Formats: sequence, structure tokens, C-alpha cells
Amino acid sequence: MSSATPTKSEELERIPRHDPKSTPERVAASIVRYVEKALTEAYLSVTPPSPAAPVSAKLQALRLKRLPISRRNQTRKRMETHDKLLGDLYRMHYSLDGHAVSGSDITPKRSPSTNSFIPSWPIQDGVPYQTWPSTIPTVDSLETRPAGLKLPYSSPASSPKTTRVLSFEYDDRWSTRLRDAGFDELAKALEQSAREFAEKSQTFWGFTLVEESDPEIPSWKRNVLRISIDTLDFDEKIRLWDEIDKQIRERLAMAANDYPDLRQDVKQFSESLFLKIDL
Amino acid sequence: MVDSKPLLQDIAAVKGAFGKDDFRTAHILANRIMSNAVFLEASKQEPFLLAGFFSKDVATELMRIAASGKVPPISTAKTAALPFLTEVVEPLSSGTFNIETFWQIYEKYSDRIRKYGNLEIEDKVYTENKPFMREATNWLLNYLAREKQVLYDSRNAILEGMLNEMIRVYRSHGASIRELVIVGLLTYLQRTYAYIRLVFAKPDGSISEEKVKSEIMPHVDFITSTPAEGYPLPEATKKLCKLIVAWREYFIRYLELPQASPAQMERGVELPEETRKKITEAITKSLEK
Repeated sequence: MSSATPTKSEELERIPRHDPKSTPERVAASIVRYVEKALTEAYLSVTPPSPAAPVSAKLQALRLKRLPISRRNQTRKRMETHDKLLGDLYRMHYSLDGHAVSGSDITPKRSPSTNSFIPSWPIQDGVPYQTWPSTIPTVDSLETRPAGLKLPYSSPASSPKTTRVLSFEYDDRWSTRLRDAGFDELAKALEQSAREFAEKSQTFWGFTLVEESDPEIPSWKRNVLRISIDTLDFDEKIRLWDEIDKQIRERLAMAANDYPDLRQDVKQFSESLFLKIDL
Repeated sequence: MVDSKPLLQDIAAVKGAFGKDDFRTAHILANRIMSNAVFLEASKQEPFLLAGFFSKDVATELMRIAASGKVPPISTAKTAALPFLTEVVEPLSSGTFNIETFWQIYEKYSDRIRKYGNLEIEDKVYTENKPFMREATNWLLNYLAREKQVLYDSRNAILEGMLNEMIRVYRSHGASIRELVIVGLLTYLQRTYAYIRLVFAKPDGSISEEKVKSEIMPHVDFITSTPAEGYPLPEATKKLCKLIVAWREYFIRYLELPQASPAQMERGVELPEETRKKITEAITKSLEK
């Protein structure tokens, strides 16, 4: 009979015996990858329950009306949470299944085991495909057929990253300028330094780059980066203002070094750039 | 006569999605433009198919840029790209669409947008070199002409491989209209072929010879015989539109290809950075004991 189940750390200690040369970092990276893969597979193996049929949803809504207000609100809230969870589950399935490459319908499809209108894939001269694609490990399937090839020229991106930058916009004049070559390196450097700073902060940001004329001397133009931040503390705003100003100017100076052809443009732009924060 | 108003509404919807930075939806709506264009009379299809082609390209590029690096300059890229889209779709409502102008705009747009998703180091080092792109393209076309029999084997990835190389070179060095047209033709040929490869594959790994011969080889021959100065744009555009329609028709028959987006599949669930760090620390500690 085997002894008691090994503890986590005993299992870990066994790993290097299989590959004594691997570093702890490499072992850790493999375990993280394994956990992520296992989670993806576990996630995809869960079949979300079907949403209520329209008739029963209507009946439920009518029944809800008969309840006293406090219970009605409570029940409605519970139902909303349930629906949201269901929606999230379908969206997650949908995105992990790799849909929306050729599709023209935004509504997520049901999984094949529920009320799917997607046929079991594919109908292939009577030879069934191994399994539903979502359960096929990508690496293995690459060996047998190229349907799972990673195409860098067309691979749609993952879901948008979570970001602290709620918006980064250009006014019409800047939009016109960006259509023509010459200003994009400047604008890229500006946007990237602003985003870099914002992502490290604890607050949310909005940026708009506008060209303003001086009210008294209209020919004197200046570029103003208008900044709004989601914090009420005045001192904190001033501190962030100072720091972001410094970071952006440093980044622009670096861009001037990286692109000698643009040195003059960067210099002019830096001199005419003002950062204005909403106080 | 089929009403083209819904397609103008599709285009408005695409612009709306771009306005909200919802590139994924914009991408789907671009597919929708091409699908709806299939329902039009043949004489009316072309401008709308090209509008869908352009919108899909913009959406794909912006999605790629948004996913690149830690702080992608996505707003700058979007601001640079969208005026070109407006320029392409505006003549649709006034009925003044012109193929030559379309490709000129596409070339300008490609020049402006190609570098946004590149690594910083690539950005600094590579310079525009369209003649090199032409050389690479010609080499690859000759290669395809030589190796086209491999298209009868369902395990091949020659079209994907060619596009991979061409687009890599284009992103570093830029491309002229001739090469952009070839990339467009190959892209939609690959999309159509992907259905044929999957649906008509036989147990021994070969593909129904008849399908490849009738639906793929004529396009391969057309593309690989591209003259040095390129095909006249109306002729090449007609071929491109034919491929787009074929692809949309395959979509009607077989819907989404399984695992067509392996990038997402590969990524799957990602642990938060903090959790990864904790796991790494715990493992390192345990192993060092």
C-alpha cells in the first residue's frame, strides 16, 4: 500500500530529479503554464446553463410584479447577478473558442451542447474531426493540421487590456497632422509616456492633445495636453502633474536621440507643449 | 434591384465601433459588410467588398496594435488610420468610388500604419525599402509556383507561410501597390483555401483534387504570374472580390473554422501577475531548501 498523499512541497522537490538542470524559475514558469492551461480546459469543460426561454422569462417578470417591493428588489438584483454571470460565462467561452474571426454576428453563440445552431464541426467526408476544437491542446493540433497555426499577420488580439487610461484623444488639427507622415513618432512618444505613467499610478486618467492659439497673439500656437484625473486630493494632483510633466519631457528627449532626423521637430514640439491638469 | 442602404448602415456601424475603440466589434461588422455585399447584384458588389476589406484590415491592425507592448500607442494609431477609412467609404454614398483611388489610399494607409505594432528596436533600425519587399515577394511567388502541388496535401501551410514572410517584410520595410494587391489576394485565397483544406480533406491527408484544381489553382496561377509592373488594378481587384465572395459563401456553408484564432486559444486563461509572482516565489523557496 502506498503511504500518505505527498504534500505539495514533496511533489515540488521531486521535479528537479526529472530534470536536474532546470532552474527554479524554469520549474515555476512550467507550473504557471500548466495551471493556466488546466484552468482554460476546466473553464471550457463547464457548460453554462441555458438562459431562460422567452416565455418563462416573461412569466418570471410577471410574477416579480406581484411581490412586495422589498422582496421584488431583492429578487430582481439576484436575477440580474445571475444573468450577468451567465453572460460573462458565455462571453468567456466565446472568446476562448476563438470565434469572431470570420463571423458577422456579434451575439455569442451557444456552446455545442446547449441550444447550439452551430453544427458539430466539421463534416469532413465522413471522417469526424478528433474532438470539439476547444478541447484540443493547440500545440498537439499543430502537428497534425495547420488549422491552428498562429498567423502573425492576421491573428486578432486578445481582449482589451485593463488600463488606467480611460481616453487619449487628439483634436481635429492633430488628427489631420497624424494623417501625414512626420508627426507620428512624436505623438507615439507622447502617448506612450503618458500611458506608461498612468498605468503605474493608482488613479484613472483622460488625455486630450489640442492645439491652442494665444488669445492676444493668434499666430502663437501651443500644444496643450489636457489631463483629467480621477482624484480629488489637490496636493496629489499637483504632485502627479509635476511627475508626469517630467516623464513626458524626458521621453521626448529620448525620442530626439533615437530619431536624429526628428531632433528639430521634437525640440520645437517640446517647447510648445504644455500640460494642463483639471484641478 | 437590391437596396444598398443596409450596407451604408453597416459602414456607419463600423465607424461607430471604431469611435468607441471597440475594434473587435468593428472587425465583425467589417465581415458583415462583405457578407451583405454578396447579396447585391454583381455589378454593385465591388465597392462594398473593398470597403469591407479595408475595414477588416484596419480593425485587425488596431487589435494587433492594442495587444502589443505594455503601453501601445493605440490612440495615435487609430487617429492616423481612421481618416483613410473615411476617405475610402465616403464615395460609396455619392456613387463616385474609383478603384485606382482606393488602392492609392490603401497604400498611403499601409505606409502610415505598418510600424505601429512593431517592437521599439525594429522601429529604430528598419528603414523603408520597398524594392526589398518586391524581391521577397517575387521570390515567394516563384516558390509557390514551384511548390504548388503541396496544396493537395491538407497538412501544408504554404499560403500561411508566404503571408507570414511577406507581412513581416512589409511591416519592416513597406510595400508598393503591386505587393499590397498580392498580399490581399493571398490573404483571401488562404481564407478560402482554409475551408477547402478542412472540409474536403481525406483520411490519408490529401484534399479532394477536384476542389483544389477548380477553386484554388486558377487563383494560384493568376497570382504567381503577376507581371513585374503588376496586373491592371481593375483586373486584380475583380479577382480579389471573387475570392472574398467565395470566402463569404464558404462561411455560409460551414460557419467559423474551428480554432481559427489560435492566438486566443493559446493564451487561454492568464493568471494575474501577482499570483504568478507568488507561485514563482513559493516554488523557488521550496526548491532551494
